[in-house]
Amino acid sequence: MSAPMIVFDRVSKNYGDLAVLRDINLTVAAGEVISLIGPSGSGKSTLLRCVNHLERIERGSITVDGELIGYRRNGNHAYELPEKLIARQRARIGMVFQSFNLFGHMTALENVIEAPVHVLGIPRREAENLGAELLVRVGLADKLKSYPRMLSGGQQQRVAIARALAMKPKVILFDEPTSALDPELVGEVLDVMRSLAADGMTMMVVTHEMSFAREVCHRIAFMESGRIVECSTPTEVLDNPAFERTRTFLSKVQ
Amino acid sequence: MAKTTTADPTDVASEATEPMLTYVPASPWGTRIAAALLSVIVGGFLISIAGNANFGWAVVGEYLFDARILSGLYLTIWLTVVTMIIGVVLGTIFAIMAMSNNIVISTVANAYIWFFRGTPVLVQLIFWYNLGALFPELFIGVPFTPWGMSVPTNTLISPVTAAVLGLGLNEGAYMSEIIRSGLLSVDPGQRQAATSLGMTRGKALWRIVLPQAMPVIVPPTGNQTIGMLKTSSLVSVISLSDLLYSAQTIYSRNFQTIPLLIVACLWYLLATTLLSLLQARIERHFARSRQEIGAVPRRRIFR
Repeated sequence: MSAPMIVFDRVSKNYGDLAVLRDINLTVAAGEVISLIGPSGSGKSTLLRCVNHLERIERGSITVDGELIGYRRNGNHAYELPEKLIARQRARIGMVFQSFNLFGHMTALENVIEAPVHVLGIPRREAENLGAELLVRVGLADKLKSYPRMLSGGQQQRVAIARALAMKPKVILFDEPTSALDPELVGEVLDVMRSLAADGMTMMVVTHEMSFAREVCHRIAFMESGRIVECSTPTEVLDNPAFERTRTFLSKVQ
Repeated sequence: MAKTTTADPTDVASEATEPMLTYVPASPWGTRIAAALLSVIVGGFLISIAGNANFGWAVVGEYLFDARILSGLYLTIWLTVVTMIIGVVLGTIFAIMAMSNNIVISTVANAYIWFFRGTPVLVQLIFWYNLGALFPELFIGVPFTPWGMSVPTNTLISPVTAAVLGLGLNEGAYMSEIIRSGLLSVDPGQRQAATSLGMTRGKALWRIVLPQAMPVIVPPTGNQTIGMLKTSSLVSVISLSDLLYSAQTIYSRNFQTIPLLIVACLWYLLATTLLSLLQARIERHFARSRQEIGAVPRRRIFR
């Protein structure tokens, strides 16, 4: 696989006395799709949220495309960047949430073009064309003018993916994208993610969908109590786990 | 059981010719009687007022468009608009400050809210009006340096300034609580989504959070505005001629107390009605993403 896109180097984080991330080392290559699995509270979502500095890390470093996230390095010190520069970094790191978080006062198309217009400064007309194209791509050609509350969960999540794509991100982080969906709506969202993977998008996916992880992801990282217990190909992790804890977890979810 | 009974053709035919049912909704007779009684009572009440010479309707008509009343009305509306603008601006600033993580910032905001909600607005008005007695000179410039200039307080604080300061600062305290509750009503996920798309906190607040807080903020703000229309009549204590005070000035000379108060009330009612219509329009604007709110059931007298 190609050059490293996301690099976690000895990343640790605490909530008070509780260590939520312990010494995480992980390199995600450009174009790689990696899924994070593990019991709740194992730090999967926290790890994801650290990548775009929604959460601060306390030790170690995270770089995306060679750029240190959230900080400016000077010798052995890292100084937190001003808000504007962090915002600029986040603009190129897409995020898709479990609860969709579409902007309720905007139509699907307005949701998609909001950041391109008001963050990147793309002319509205141009952004609308791009937004419409993206909504067609996620199969919502007839929902451009619909407000989020008129859409099903699956449709909302697909708008959310289009919204992330509109920023032309280097990576997209998915935080349990299908966990809030009715079972029959999960497929349509996974289909869109599958096509993104096929197009070579770098993706980190926190998920409980083992079949998706097996079929689409290049690697699976199993996390428990803030550590990556093992990280390997889907067949290795799912069919032949090296650790007893992985095996116990898999026996519960499969 | 089903097997033993053979189908009887005549039975089937009688079932087929049975006429379709016409459904008749239950008649709300109790409600209708109550409505009729109410109409009689209200009608009688209105006639007893309109036909009562003691109300001095002729005097009401005479003074309704009196120049003093109209200039009083103008001041009342002007004060309401200006103080509400100040209130909304201050309220937004203090609401954001009150939600700050920095303890000094949030404490200052909460102290402001505590003080201005906790003291009568009448006292606040008198205080601002008499500021000159407490600080004879106001220094405008850089604090703790000689750069700047001193101005006699009384030239700076006119009665109108005192009214605007008193009412505006008081309103800001109430508005900040209204705006804060609106901001809290927006799901934190909205802010996160905005941030993850590269928006700064200010932009996320302005573009994403505030617009969605508006449906919660607008109705109580309408209430406050209507309240302010009447609270502004307190400025009579610092000798400003608002609508009510103008009416009082006139009846203190001609002793037509009731007719002149009716004149004032008619104008207050008109202004309130217009404000309510404006509020309804604003609410509709911010509710456009919620379709079900547009569907108001039609009310009828009879059906």
